[in-house]
Amino acid sequence: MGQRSPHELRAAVLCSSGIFDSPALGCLGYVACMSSSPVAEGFEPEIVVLCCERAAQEVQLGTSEAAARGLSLHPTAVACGIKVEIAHLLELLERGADRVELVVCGEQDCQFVVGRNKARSRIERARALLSEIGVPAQRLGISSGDALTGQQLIEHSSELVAEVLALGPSPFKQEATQVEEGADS
Amino acid sequence: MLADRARVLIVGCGTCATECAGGGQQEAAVLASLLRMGLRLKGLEPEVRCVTLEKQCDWDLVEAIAPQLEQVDVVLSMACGIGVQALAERFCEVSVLPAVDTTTLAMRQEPGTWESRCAACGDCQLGRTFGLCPVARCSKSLSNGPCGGTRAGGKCEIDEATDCVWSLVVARAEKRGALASLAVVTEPKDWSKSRHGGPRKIVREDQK
Repeated sequence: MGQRSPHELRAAVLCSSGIFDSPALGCLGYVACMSSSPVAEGFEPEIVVLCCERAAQEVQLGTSEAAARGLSLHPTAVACGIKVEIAHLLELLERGADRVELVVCGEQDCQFVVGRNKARSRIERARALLSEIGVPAQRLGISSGDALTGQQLIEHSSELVAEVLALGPSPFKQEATQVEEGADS
Repeated sequence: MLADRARVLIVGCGTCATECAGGGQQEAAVLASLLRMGLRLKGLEPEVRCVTLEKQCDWDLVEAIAPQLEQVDVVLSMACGIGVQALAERFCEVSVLPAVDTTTLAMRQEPGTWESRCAACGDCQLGRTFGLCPVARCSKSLSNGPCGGTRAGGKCEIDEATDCVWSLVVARAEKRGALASLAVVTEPKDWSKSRHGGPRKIVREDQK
């Protein structure tokens, strides 16, 4: 992957299963960051990466690596991909995320045994629901990794940027910006 | 139906609809997000909120949403038809719409799978059929079975993945050594106690 500009990617890895005890709090904390994106000046994809703590054990390393490359990673992890409910995914999209990616464990690594498979089914269900209302299913994705290193996590996030650029900005991001501008005035 | 109604209150139900993942808190939140996004894509600016009641089939419990109704144009109930009707009757000044299609009285067989177990027919035959309901589980609701369409392996002719309930009845009767009881032809069922007999109402003076 070539070097990207500091503004080309802003990826967030939400972590700690605790935030999902109160999903709105976790999501709001991130969305405040997303809605400040200056959409009118150019499209800066906002990609939320929700990562099982087992799938990426070196998120902290990834953070420092990302910072060195001008990327913004917020290290967190979820206890298991299946802990992320469809409502959480939709809330992130509704609040302006251009793409939400769930990273789960590899085939043999899921400590919950079936967690990753259930998470995949859940993502498919959410994608179908999105399609039904006219939101491209590609706004939501799932991938897996075996104890990804921070470097690999960054590479993966960067690969998503191209897909998101092809989709264009989320229609809900624009709205979030407008709301915030209205609140400031 | 919602195009000209900007203020929507989605009401989930915390009992049966939650158990069947059809209209509980999670499903209400999902519907709220989808509705907000879907309507915004159509150029509308909806105000969609959601609340989940412990249950919607209780006159006392539905009162919890009364204070919110002045701020809504339409209520979407995610309960079964009982809950929808309860809200529509108590809050008749507001449009109450059903958000789910209630299908049957079912039981969760495994995560993600619910199977019909009771058709609320009003004339229970389970004592005679070894605890297996042919009204809800036989495609023809036969009182005497199996029919001639049963597939090899005891599956129903309409769907190879569906058990023939009468085959299950026979198997259970054999296991109990009571197969002879099934040789007695059952008289036609009294369907007047079901929907065919008009609206049903149960009155218990001792419960009043």
